Formats: sequence, C-alpha cells, structure tokens
Amino acid sequence: MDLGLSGLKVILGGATRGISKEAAKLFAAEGASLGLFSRNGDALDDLKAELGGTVETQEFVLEDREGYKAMLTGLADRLGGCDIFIHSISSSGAQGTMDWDETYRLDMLGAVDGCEALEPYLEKSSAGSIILMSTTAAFETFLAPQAFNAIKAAVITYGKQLSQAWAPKGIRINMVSPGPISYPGGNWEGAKALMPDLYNGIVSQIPMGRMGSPEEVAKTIAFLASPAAGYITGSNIVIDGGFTKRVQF
Amino acid sequence: MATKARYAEIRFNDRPIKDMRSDPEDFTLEPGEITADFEAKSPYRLDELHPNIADYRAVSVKQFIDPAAKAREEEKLWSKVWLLAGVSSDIPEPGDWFRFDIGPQSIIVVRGKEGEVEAFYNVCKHRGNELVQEDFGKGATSFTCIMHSWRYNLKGKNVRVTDRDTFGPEALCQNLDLTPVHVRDWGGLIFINMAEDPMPFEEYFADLMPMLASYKMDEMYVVKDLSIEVPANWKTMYSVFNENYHAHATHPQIKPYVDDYNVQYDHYRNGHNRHLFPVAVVSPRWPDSRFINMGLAYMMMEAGVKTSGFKGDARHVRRAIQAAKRKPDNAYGMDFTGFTDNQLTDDWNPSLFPNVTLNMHPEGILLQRFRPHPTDPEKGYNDVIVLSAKVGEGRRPPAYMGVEDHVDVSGKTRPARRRTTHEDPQGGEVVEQDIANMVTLQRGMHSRGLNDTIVFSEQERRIQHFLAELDLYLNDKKPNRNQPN
Repeated sequence: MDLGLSGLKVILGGATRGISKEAAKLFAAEGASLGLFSRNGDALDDLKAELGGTVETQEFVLEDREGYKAMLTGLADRLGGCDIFIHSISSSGAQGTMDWDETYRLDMLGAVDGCEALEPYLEKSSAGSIILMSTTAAFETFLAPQAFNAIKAAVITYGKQLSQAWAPKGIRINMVSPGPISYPGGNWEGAKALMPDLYNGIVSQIPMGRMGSPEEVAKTIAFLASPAAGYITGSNIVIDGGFTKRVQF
Repeated sequence: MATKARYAEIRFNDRPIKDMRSDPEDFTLEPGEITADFEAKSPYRLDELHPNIADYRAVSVKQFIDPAAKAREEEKLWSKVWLLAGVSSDIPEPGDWFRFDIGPQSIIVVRGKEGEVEAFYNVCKHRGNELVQEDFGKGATSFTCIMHSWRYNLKGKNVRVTDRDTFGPEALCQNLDLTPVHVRDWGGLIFINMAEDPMPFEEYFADLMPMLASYKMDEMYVVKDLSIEVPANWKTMYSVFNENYHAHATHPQIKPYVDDYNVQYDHYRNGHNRHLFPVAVVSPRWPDSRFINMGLAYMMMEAGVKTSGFKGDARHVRRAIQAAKRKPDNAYGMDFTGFTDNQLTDDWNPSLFPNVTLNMHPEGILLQRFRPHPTDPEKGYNDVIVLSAKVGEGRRPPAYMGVEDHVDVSGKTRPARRRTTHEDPQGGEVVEQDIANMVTLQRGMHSRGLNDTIVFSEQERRIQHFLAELDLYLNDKKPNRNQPN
C-alpha cells in the first residue's frame, strides 16, 4: 500500500530519540522531506547524515512562545511548505512529567502554538495533517497524579475540537496515544535500572507481555499522518499491547 | 538471589566500549576548577612498584583455599601490617574500648585517662582466657577476667592476681601485664600493628594520608555496622571489589549514573591503590549517553538543579551538581570547603593494604573490611561500616550504602553491630550483589574445570597489585621502611 508520503513536507520535534526518531526515519524512507528540531544539535547532525534526502534541521530550546512559532515557520519556509506537523515535544523528554509549568509549556502550548503557527502552510497543502502525541496515561490512571497525565488529556480534547474546526480547511488532526514504550537508553530502560520493581509490575499488566517499541508507534504515526488515512480525523489511536482496560466505543 | 532476576533485562545490554585503553593507568580524570595535590595521578606506576607484575596476571587458586596458606598469612602478613581496628568516634571518652578480632588474634583497643589510645592482645596472662568478650564497652576503669578475677588497668598493667600467695615464684616472675601492640589514632580511624618493629605508620600510609584526611572522618560517626560471615576466603572477598570491571554486570543498575570505565587508576607504595569513579555521568556502556535519564534526573533533583529547561545534556550534569553543592545555601546543608570539585560528586575508592576498601563521599563513607576466619581458610567476615558526616536536616548518606530509612543519622545514637551471614547480608543491594559473587567465586575455585588457574585483566590491576604486595610479605621480601625514590 502506498501511503502517499513521497514529496510531502513533514515537521517533527524531539527528533533525535525514541518514537520521534523512528518516525523521522520512516518518513524519510517513504520519500518525505523533513524539518527536524531538537535541543541536541550534535544528535540532529548525526541523524541528518544517517537519513540522507531532504532534511532541514534546527537546534532549538523552547524558551518563549514567539520564538517557537518563529522557529516552526522558519523551518516550513526552508522546506518550502508544510504538509504534516507532528507535535511530539514533551516535558517527559526532560524528566519533567511532574512539572506543571514545563508540561503546560511544552505539551499543551507546544500543540496550540505549533498548530496555529503552521496553519497557513497546512491549509495550502492538499494533504494537511497534524498528529498530536498523547499517552494512555491521559485516560487511565497511571503511577501518580502528575502534570504529564492531566495535560496530555487536555491535548486530546484540544485536538478533537480542532479537528472539527479545521476539517473544512482540509486539515486532519489525530492523536496517537502510546502505552509504555521501551528502547535502549529510553525512560523505561532507566526504570529497569532504577525502579525495576515498578518496571516489572507494569510489564506484568500488559497482556502482550512486553512494552512496545518506537518502531511500532512510528508506523501508526506515519499511516495516520499520510494521505492513506485521508478520511480519518479527530480520532485517538491507542497503541498499548492491551495495557489499558477500558472499552473505547 | 533476587537482585539477579530484578536486573535481568539490563544486565547485559552494554554497548561495546570504543577505543578501549589497554593501559588504564594512562587515563587521568579532568580536574574541576577546584582541585588539590591529592587528586593528581600517583607518581608511581604499578610496573615500577612491582617489576614482576606480569606474574600476577594468571595465578593459582591454591592460596584462596589452602589451610597452609592461611597459616603463612597469619605468621607473615597479619602480624606485620597496619590494620584498621575501628573508628575513633566509637571510643570518645576515657575508658571506652572496643574489641578487634583478626583471624585467631583478638585485640582490645581502649582510650586511656589522658585521651590516648592503647591496644593490647585480648588475653588474660593467667591461663589465656579472652579478657573481654563483648564488642564494645564504655567508661571502664580496668579489665577484670571473668574466670578468676585477675585485673588490668587501662595501661594494661596487671593490678590484681587474686590469691597471689597461692602462686609460686615460677609463675609470678613472668610478665603478667597485658601484651601491648602498636596503635595509631589518626584522622578518625584507629589502626593497630602486631609487629615488634613495624614500618612507621606515617611511612606506611604516606601516599594516601592527604586524600584520606580531606574527608574529615574524625568528624564522622558510625550509622551502620554489619559483620557478615561469608563462606569465602578473605582474599576472594577483597578481590570482588578493587576493580571497576565487574560493575557493569554485577551492578547493572548503576550504569545510568556512574561511569564504570573512564576511571582513574592510582597505584601507591605498600600495596595501596585507588579508583576515582566519576558519578553523575552515564556509563559509556549504557545505550544513551546524552539523554538525562531517570538516575541523573534524581541526582539533579537531590542537588536542587532543575531538569526542566536545563541547559545541556547528560554530559553536563556532573559539573552542574558540583556547582550546586558549592553554593553556601546548598541542598545538603553542608560546607564543602576543602573538597575538590570532583570529590563533590565522584566515588573515590581507595584500598588500604591489606584488607580495607573505602567508597568516599563528603556526606558519608562506606568502609568495608575483610577479615579471615579464626580457623577456616574458606570463611571470613565482610565488615560493612557506614560513616556519616553531619548532613543537613532530612539528608542521608548516599543511598547505595544501604543505611535503612528508619536509622537515625544525626549521630545521637550509635547503632549496634549486627552479626549476620551471606544468606541475609542486610548490606543494601550493591553490597549484596558483591557478596553473592564472593560465595560463587569461592565454590568455583574448587572446580576441576579451572585447571587451578584464574586470570586478571588490566582493568583488574588493583588485584594484581594486591597479590604482588602480599607475596612480598609471604616471601620475606617486604622491607619495613619505604625505599628512597
């Protein structure tokens, strides 16, 4: 099945690690052009060399909202447009899931400002599509009351409403909610070392008996963002190996 | 052991080390802005201290098993070296004393009336009964044998032979005072030496003293005291430590925040050596060396360094924590003056020949001592003593030292010594992982599959050094003065 990603322009943050990195690799393999940003400039350079093709990179630390918007539109201008925006920057990438201000700034306002800044580009596209990354922790209680869980729930609500508002403009908006995802050097890998009982307890609750991989999430992101999913909008796709127990009607 | 299963998923997840150093003594840790002479590399190299060091890369297991080797060590090693007997803070007042056992020998260490420390063999000169039978005592004015009430003052002088007139002159003409041994109360630690004419203490420890003194152990106090009987030779136990090579597999949980490879090796005279382990740095074996992982994030939080908006990645965390500790209102409630920047985060791990290893941090010290059993070459004692500095309210010595949460670390109460075994070591996870290795190493040494020989890598140079120095004693080749440089 051809996803129709070839030649599309994708903007993606936090691209040097985990799910975002795998998504970047997959979009590149499908022939998309990429605009990548990350706090880690060295790692961006490494990734750019690994990917080949059209890749614009920007080392970036989110300090203020205007700077973030300007960075995104700058990347879009360098790419000559933007068809797909993946909002994947999060306080969880900086061990900040308990930090309300930081999570609001990165996860919530990062979604709002990103969508608004790129709206003119997405509207011009014939394949305009946004993915907002959320988490299963948004809709089933997980670990502890914390900023990450609550604000990721708000992101789903925001994305659903935005999908209604922007459907007439031809911009699709979908959410992707992974359960626990483990990869070498990732957060859960750290938990295996530092909180092994917690880690083993979580794995024991997953019917598939293992955590997910970034590749598995990346494939869903790529499909959902692509023209192959052209009639899907406002949905929240859960990828969790059966971890959450609620029934989603 | 439970910890083996706990860390099964990451035990062998290592990345290969790029550009491995064949000579680990080539590496020097970069000092911070504040450094000190005692941080510099040792002026000695191991192959200069022991030109025959190649002989210690493959060694026989016999010395770890053989009763004859044990007897030789008692005669030629234990009776000649300075041994850590205890800590000064355990006997603060005149008449306070403790007992120190090493193999079949037992020593009483007591603080005299003028505050000086004396040490004697713990044996009544009458019939050889052990004079004191407890570990510690307070405020004694004399020692009285429980069997026939012979009595000795704090200087060891016999002050009472009960029913003296019933002893003939052949008995009474013997020296009936306690037999003294050399003792030094230095820097918060008390050492004894059973030799008649030992190497002077200051010469024996010359190379280590400035570093040891910098930790101000005389201001620390005991917050944990375990004596763990382990079915292993004391050298097997000691050799489980004193190398960084085992850390990645034995202690996989530390890889997110301890560099177990880029470690400074320093070898000194008289068998001493050290590793300087950078802490708050990701191990190069861990899959991601840039991401601020959960372990680093926890250390940053402890130090009051915010992870959110942190300028930099994992490679900048160690210096950031050092800087946070330098602040007068630091989160530890301590004054770190006198410590180098690297000491503020890193694990400085000296070994005092022959049987002590220390993991040193300004907040606390994990002191481990390995003692031979009185009779069995394949049993010994792993003493685990944690010393705490006076830390701020709510602060604790480093968690890996295994001081339980309910234990008072204010110094108001000195916890009792716990005697336990390898089956329930109570030493915390890191210590327990090492103890598990001691047991299986000792058992394995009997295997016919071993062909009598075990081998050591250059990452295990400290063990080579230890065995080479030990042989100097066993072969009567150890001078009792330092040689001129």
